[in-house]
Amino acid sequence: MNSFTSHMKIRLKIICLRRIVMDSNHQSNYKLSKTEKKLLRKQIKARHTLLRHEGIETVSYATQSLIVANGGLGNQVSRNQLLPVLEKCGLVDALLMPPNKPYSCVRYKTVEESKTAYDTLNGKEIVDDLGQKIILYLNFVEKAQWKELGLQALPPGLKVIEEIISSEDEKMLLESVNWTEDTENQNFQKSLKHRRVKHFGYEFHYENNNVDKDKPLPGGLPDICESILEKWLKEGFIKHKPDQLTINQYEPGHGIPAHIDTHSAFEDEIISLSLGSEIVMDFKHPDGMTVPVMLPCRSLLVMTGESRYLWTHGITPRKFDTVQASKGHKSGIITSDVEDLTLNKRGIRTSFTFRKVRQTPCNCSYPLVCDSQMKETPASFPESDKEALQLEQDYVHRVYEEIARHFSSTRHTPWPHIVEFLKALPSGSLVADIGCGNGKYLGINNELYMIGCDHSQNLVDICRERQYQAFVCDALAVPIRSGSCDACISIAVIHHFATAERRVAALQELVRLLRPGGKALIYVWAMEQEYNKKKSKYLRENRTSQGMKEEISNDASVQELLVKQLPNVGNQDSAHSVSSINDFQDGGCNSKNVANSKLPIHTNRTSFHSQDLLVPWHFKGNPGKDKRVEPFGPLGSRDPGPVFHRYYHVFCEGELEAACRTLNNISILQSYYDQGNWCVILQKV
Amino acid sequence: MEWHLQPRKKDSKVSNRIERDSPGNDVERDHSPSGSGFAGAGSVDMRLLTHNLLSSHVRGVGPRGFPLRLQATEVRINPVEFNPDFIVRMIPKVEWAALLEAADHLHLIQVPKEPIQGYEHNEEFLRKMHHVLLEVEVLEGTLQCPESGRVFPISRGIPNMLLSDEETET
Repeated sequence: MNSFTSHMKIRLKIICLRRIVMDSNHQSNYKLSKTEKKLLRKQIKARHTLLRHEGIETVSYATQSLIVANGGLGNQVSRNQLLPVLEKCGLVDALLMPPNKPYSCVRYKTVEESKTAYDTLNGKEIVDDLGQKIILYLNFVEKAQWKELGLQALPPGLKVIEEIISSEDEKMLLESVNWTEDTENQNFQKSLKHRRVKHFGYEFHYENNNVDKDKPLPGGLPDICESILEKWLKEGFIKHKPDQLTINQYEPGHGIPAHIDTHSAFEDEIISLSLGSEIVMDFKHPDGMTVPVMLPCRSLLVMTGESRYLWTHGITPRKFDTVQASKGHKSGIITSDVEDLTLNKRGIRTSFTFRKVRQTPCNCSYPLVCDSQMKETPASFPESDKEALQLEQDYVHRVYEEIARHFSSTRHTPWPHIVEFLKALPSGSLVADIGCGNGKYLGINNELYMIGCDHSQNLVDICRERQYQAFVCDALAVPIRSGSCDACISIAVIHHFATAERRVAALQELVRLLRPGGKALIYVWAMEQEYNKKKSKYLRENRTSQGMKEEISNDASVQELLVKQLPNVGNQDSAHSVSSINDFQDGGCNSKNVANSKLPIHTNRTSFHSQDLLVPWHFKGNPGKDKRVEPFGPLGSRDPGPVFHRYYHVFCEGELEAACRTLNNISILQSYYDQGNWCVILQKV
Repeated sequence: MEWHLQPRKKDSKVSNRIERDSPGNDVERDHSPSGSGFAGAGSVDMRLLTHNLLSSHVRGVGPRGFPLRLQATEVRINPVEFNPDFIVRMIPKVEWAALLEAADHLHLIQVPKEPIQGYEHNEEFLRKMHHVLLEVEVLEGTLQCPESGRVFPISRGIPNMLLSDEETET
């Protein structure tokens, strides 16, 4: 970094000198004034920050486009403040204001106009939306680029019906809410820090996020609500008559953490009327996709199906929302078109959320996030092949099917050693990737004919879309003819099998597929996340990660590499050549599994204390919006969101090798540790 | 011997016309034999080279589970850049009888009964094999185990070879 900074300094000195020579105001004065020096320093800093943190490369020659550091939606500068300032310097072709970023990008019609802006606006002071002074720093960029996030669709089952009530009715409803009654009612919240809440029909308990079905509140729903609901039913906006109402009042700065309304508490259709102010509500799918939806005043949000049962919804506690700049707020998705975004100051919003209380357990199609359907008894260590199969079905296959969608290749970096293995294979090799997932490795080496297979249909669909050959199957019964493959890989797969026998069976399949002389590469998660006194990246990353590291926080197998080559264990003595895997397992790791014992739930980012465990997988969210909200006081704190548990058997040092050695037709070529994984390369003799 | 790889019957749909690649014609769609990369739009469905590797894993059938009987209701031709070296290396790995049977079921005419003598240098032969192995894709159809009769579906180009719990029980 030192050489970089000094390089930058030299570049800028040259530019400065050039500027001074060209700038007639300075005449023969080659020395910069103090303020000029300071301005230059700040400009350099801005360039540096943009490169390091945003990956934006600024250039030292004039172009049509400029990055305006400190002039962004992310630091409360709105479009209608910035644009006039920029327009004074020339014709603005486009102003891109990416959401949540502390910079914008402006493209002028000509380079001359851009240069004018650069010369006059650098160091310019403007006032932001909150009335605070902001200094702008401008730098040229090659082109105003922005990666489109791709088309978004509303979560399935979601509708926003605009202007469903008149302004008069809105006023009437707002006035009808008596916030001052019932001070002993525990639902009345005095503190101005949090949103205010009232319940009708049934009382909602925040301790368990459920209603007490046996204790309906007297009075039912207010009369005005009853008549409005009747109207909506008749007009077909809603299909069912709700019997529970929660009124929430949000002041600017209030929010509600992302959550799914408890399945067992309420039926499918959940509707919410927005009054007083519009707001942006965020919907998140378990695989991380976030869709921001604008809810205008007097609109009715209807959540059914997937949007009610699987996606979380929440409101970020803040005073401004990023919304569409073009006239007429449309409800629905906030555009990702950064040329059309601005800030919208929030007002006081009151929501009337109507729900119908369930009287029977929930039987939705989203069992993994359903409190009725998730097993009451916790998962236990399997004692038979049948139990193992069921465990894998519940805690491996179902989870991957749920989160497979939207898996994107750009978010996964292939691991160097695996790439190395594939690239070293002879041209024209037939290679099978058993447990290929989203096909991360199927396209690494174009000289090979690679086919992938996975248990998850959704993941295989992604492989097909990426133009790879893949099919759906079980890794214990691979439908490929014996001895046909020049090589196989099994990356982060075998650790999902719940018994030692099944793990060995998976290895047997890999070897069966190989021709004599063929090689297999196997990676499994290691119990030892700290090896040679060095912590693996999984342990080191102990806070919410950002951007492309988002993936790492949940999938512990994805890490950068620091290979620790073990001494060649190929020549080990008979101490390791035991016939029974279980013997070795117990002796090697000293972590015995007691029959019938519960599988512990692991705490992410800590060391493993058991070889067989459930690893939580949280709904991934936008890092910027993932700020933890303070507890809600007497209303209790809400769950951060549903969690998927995935089953893993993490391997001890030497365990994978020993498992391989039980197969009598192989020799181990390499055995090593790779950032939290035990790895083996074997060859069929 | 004329080689026209065209469907005989009308019941199997072919989305693209078959074009003969002229030498040096860079097919823009796909840049690699294995079909990797994002060069072309759309997806890639099951190829005959892949079919040649698939075998039934129904309990007890073993090697008698090969080859899987291929039936297709929807087939398409998806051009792939010709790489002669790659094809030369693939030829010895192909189970020829299975390939002939599959080609026949797809009504592809006149696939040679065995590799020609000196095929390594016979560009015409290699181009034909390239076409059969890599450019013919099955979108919809079935794969049937010759021994047990078990049928596996091919849907949207993806074979689903999962057996039910009962079928996998010991």
